[in-house]
Amino acid sequence: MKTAELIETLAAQATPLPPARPGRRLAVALAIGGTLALALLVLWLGGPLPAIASRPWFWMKTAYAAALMAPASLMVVRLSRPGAPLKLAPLSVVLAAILLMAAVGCAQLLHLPPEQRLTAWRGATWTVCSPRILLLSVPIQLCVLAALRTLAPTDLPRAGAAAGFLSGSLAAMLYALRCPEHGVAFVATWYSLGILAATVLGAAAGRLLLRW
Amino acid sequence: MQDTEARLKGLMLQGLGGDARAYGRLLTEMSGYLRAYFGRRLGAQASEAEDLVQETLLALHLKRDSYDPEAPFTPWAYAMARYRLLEHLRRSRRRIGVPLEDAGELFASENPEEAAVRRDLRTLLLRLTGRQRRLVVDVKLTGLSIAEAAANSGLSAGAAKVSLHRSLKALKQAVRDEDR
Repeated sequence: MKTAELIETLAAQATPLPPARPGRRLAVALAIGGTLALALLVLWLGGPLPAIASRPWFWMKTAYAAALMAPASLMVVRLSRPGAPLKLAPLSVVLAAILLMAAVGCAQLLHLPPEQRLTAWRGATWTVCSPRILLLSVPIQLCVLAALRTLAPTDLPRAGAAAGFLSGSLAAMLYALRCPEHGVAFVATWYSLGILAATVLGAAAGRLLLRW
Repeated sequence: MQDTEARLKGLMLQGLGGDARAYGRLLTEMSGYLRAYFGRRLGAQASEAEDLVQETLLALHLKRDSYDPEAPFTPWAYAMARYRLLEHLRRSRRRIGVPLEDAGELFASENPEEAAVRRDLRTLLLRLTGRQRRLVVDVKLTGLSIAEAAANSGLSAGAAKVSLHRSLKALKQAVRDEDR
């Protein structure tokens, strides 16, 4: 087919089209993915701990995850469009949040006598925390990637990584419902590692699944 | 560059509003720019470039709702074109580097002939020394008078005239040699 004919055909299809709303699609994806992850949490890990909402350390984890999710959402929305300039601000917020948690965690550990610090940092569940967050992120990632496929990302590894990071943060927020640990250093380390693993998975998945 | 951006953005917004003629004009203009851009990146395989042009036009059309009306048009179109080019290279397993340039690179030349002429001209001018070249550019391209160009290069008007005459003679000979 000659290009001129193609243009004629396409021009004939120029029906009025409202701009896509990636924020809305992302919100739907997170709602569906989050619900699936919650179901997984209940079936696999037994659901929320009793009276979890009355524990201050639960809200500390929730706040940390929320502080990561907000800039991550902005990044995903930006990366869903071709040519949108990357702004440093969301990334700075992420780094600031991680560093703040790390600092508070260190301060908390230093208040303990030296022989208790290692146990406090590792808690009882350090071997399973990060893998669980990674696994819980998978259903969320699938939903976010599905939403991205209806949009037009042109930097696939970055878009996938941002999607992975966002999914990991939500997964961490949900995992907190089940997590018995109190320590800030614990959260700063093992939650962040789980989210990082989800980010790496997202980058790889993005390269494979976001092509169009 | 600003005019191109303003014009194309206008056509895009009209097209998104349902104006088929504006949209058709946009796609036709884009096909010219795309052909030149892909021609520059892929070398001289014209049929390959044409397929890619059609593929990119289709992509622009199918994903036209990903364009944010508040944002400039050029970076969006450039990112699309570059993405399709990279995909094409990936599928055909060619290892050409495609640098991430300023988005205006997409509109750098309207057609491959113009780009070729510019390339040839640059090659010819490189045969001259720096000072000779500056004189030629000042007088013949920028349109300065001999006196002004001479002042720019720190020469007397007479010396500039001689240098210019010699440079143009050398260029004419070079063109004759190339054509042979």
